[in-house]
Amino acid sequence: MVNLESPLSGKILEINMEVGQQVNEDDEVIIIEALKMENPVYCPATGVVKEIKVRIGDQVNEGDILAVIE
Amino acid sequence: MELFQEVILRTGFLALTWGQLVMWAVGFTLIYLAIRKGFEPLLLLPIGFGILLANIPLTPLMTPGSGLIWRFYHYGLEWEVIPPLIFLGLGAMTDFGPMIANPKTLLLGAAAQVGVYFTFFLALLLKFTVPQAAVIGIIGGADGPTTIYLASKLAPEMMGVCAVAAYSYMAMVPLIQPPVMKLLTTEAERKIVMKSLRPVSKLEKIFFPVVALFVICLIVPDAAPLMAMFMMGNLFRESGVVARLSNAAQNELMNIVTIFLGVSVGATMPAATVLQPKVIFVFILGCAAFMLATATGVLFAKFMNLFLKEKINPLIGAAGVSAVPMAARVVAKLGSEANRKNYLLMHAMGPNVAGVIGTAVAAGMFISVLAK
Amino acid sequence: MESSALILKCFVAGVTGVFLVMAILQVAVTLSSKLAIWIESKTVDKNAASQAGKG
Repeated sequence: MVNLESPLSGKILEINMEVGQQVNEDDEVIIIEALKMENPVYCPATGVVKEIKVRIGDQVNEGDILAVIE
Repeated sequence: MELFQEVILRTGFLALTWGQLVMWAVGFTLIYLAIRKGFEPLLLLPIGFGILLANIPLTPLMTPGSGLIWRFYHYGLEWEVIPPLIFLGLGAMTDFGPMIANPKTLLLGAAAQVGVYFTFFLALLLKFTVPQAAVIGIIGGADGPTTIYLASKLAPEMMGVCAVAAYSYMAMVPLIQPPVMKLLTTEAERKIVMKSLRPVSKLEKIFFPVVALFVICLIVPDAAPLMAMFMMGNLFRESGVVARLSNAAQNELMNIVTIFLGVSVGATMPAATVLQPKVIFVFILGCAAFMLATATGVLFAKFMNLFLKEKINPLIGAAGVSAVPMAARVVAKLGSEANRKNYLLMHAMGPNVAGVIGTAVAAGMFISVLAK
Repeated sequence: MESSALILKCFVAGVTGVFLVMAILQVAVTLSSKLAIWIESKTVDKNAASQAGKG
């Protein structure tokens, strides 16, 4: 189990994965918007998405857990 | 027949000069850049229109004492009202959190101002007067209202040109800064990942504008008009109890004064003052100012790394020029190019907002030495 | 030659001024942050205590 943590604070703009989906390390899984700039968040490990804790439009802080990969 | 002749003579056509036609072209270019290319449209559009207004012959718009735009200029800029009001709005927009979390970045905001002084010397070599050179140097701070404020105090004849240079280069920050930043850093340095910023509490953010006000104004009293408004705007924001005032400062008031700022600055550019060979140098020096400020910021960040246990990414030094948040975005972009899991945006916001303070302080120091 | 003295004054005053402000501001911000965090920890303790008291 690996947590996908937010690397910076901002707003969730896109989520490119679904629960149960197979993801690879370094996949661009979430895009966070901060200061009108799109910041891609990369998957920390290869595995299956167990849980997505955020929705599009959510405001997140640095270090918040965005998703859990198993 | 004579009557007819008199009517013709009263039209603007016969009074039109070549210089004015050239200035029309300049005005149209700025308007074009604003509309089609999105270059700082909020400022370059009214400035471009102001240039047109200043170059239509025989119009009473800029007549001292009675002209409409002259009144905007006189009461807004000569009376030094508008730039501080813009700072009020900027204060209400600025989140000092990243800077409070990492106060070291304040020094980077100072370091980028060294570029201002290099440019100041370059301008003197090119035979500009001392006050003119000061205004040209401050372009390197990449802060429009500060440039305009300093010009209104020291060299009003330079205001229009320097403002246009500052705002157009600000729009070009993503082109001007990266080559300098890449030249002065190694790939390994650009890859440095910085420790995440600690969360900053509400009370810390409330304390900051008050503390900063006293520190800055006691040391550099001449920076007070800009800094007083900046910190009051920030206190509006962080106190959380005057959301209406904070919103008004950021939106309505900001928009209103931006209109008067743009059109008045544009109207300070009649052909006779602008079309001189020296103006070309202002643009060259302005570009040099941006590059030098970027360079001194980056180099100082590398210098700080010699003493720091936790290394900072030297790219964030480039954000010490105050173009908020464009410079921070450029830093984030270069950082992620070197290492795509490197998120420097928030780290760069620290020096970025510190740069705003730094430029205003540098302007204050120029005023204290040079203003009569 | 008077102007070169003026230029030097601009430069020295400017650079020392800017760095002085930033250095002092850095210390002041660090201290005010410490104070703010200390005050907040006090009030949080009180709140916790008063809530515990109620309970």
